[in-house]
Amino acid sequence: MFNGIRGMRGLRGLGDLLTDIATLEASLATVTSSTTSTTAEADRIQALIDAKTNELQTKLNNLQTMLNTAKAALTAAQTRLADLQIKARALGIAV
Amino acid sequence: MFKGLGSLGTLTSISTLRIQYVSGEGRALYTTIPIYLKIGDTVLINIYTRAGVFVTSLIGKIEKLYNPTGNDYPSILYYSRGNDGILYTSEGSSTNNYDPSILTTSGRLYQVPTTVELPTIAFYTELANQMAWISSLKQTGFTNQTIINIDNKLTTGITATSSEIDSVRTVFKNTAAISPTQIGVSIVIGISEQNGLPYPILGITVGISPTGNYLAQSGTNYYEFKSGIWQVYSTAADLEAKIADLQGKINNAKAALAAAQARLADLRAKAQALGISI
Repeated sequence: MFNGIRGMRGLRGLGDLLTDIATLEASLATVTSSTTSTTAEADRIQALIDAKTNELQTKLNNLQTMLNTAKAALTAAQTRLADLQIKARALGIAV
Repeated sequence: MFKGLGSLGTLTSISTLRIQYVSGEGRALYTTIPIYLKIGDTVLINIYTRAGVFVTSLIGKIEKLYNPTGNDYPSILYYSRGNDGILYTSEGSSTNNYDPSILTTSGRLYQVPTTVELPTIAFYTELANQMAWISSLKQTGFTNQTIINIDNKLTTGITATSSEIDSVRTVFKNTAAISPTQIGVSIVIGISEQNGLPYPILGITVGISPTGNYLAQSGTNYYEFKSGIWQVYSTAADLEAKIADLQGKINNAKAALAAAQARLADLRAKAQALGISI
């Protein structure tokens, strides 16, 4: 009923505006807070994944090194075997 | 809030809310317009010239009722700022033009509230040349005759009858269901510079700012009673723009939240695939 009265219309308008602003500010704060917490959780999991990735990468590197070493040893052994086989045949040794 | 009131200067006193614009002084002193408030109501009165130019504001609290003519007149302790820049409150009187015959309160100082005390009923009667407003009043239950009677009497300085007052009071009591977080006082009285008679010019409204100060509206501007004076708070357009800005920020924030949630879901899936306990 106040709406038709000069001044009161403005009062309600002002109140509504302030209420809207307060509501929006609260909503913004809520959404921002949720984003912050969600991002923090994502960062935490990303850190765990990064740690796991580093751990696996280290293992991979170590395995690669061991593989390379083994390959080198195999090559050396194969070279030696071939050499010995040649020598044996030259001596008339059946191998 | 009301920090500026801590350094009150000359203390003056009135009991009946009488307001008169005194040319050159810029202060409200006298009116016969009855304003129906109850004890404890906080009152804001803005004074405008007939041309609608803002003169000054008073703010205070109804302390007692003075009944010089059989009608209810609120006794009000108030603050105002004189041309000397000093805030005056209602206690004693020596250098102003208050009518000693209406003084009923002396030796009392308005206590600055530590919390905002809101009025429950605000009443404002506007006079002639405000037919649109009168028309709207009629929609709320006033009769045209009531308005005319009151207008005529107010214009001529004659007090409205009790029945007229009651009819007005009833309307406002019945329409007082306004959220206390929104309502302040909405009284504006201007005084004719031509004949010195009461001449309400403009309705003004009061709310509470986010910082707890009084807010008043005049036209499309809002004013905040801050540090003892009225200062421009914002315009309606500013507030609308702020709302639009907030809505935009919320939309952006929601988008950011959605992205963060998607990222989180993706990382959780990856972590699960890696056998990571989260």
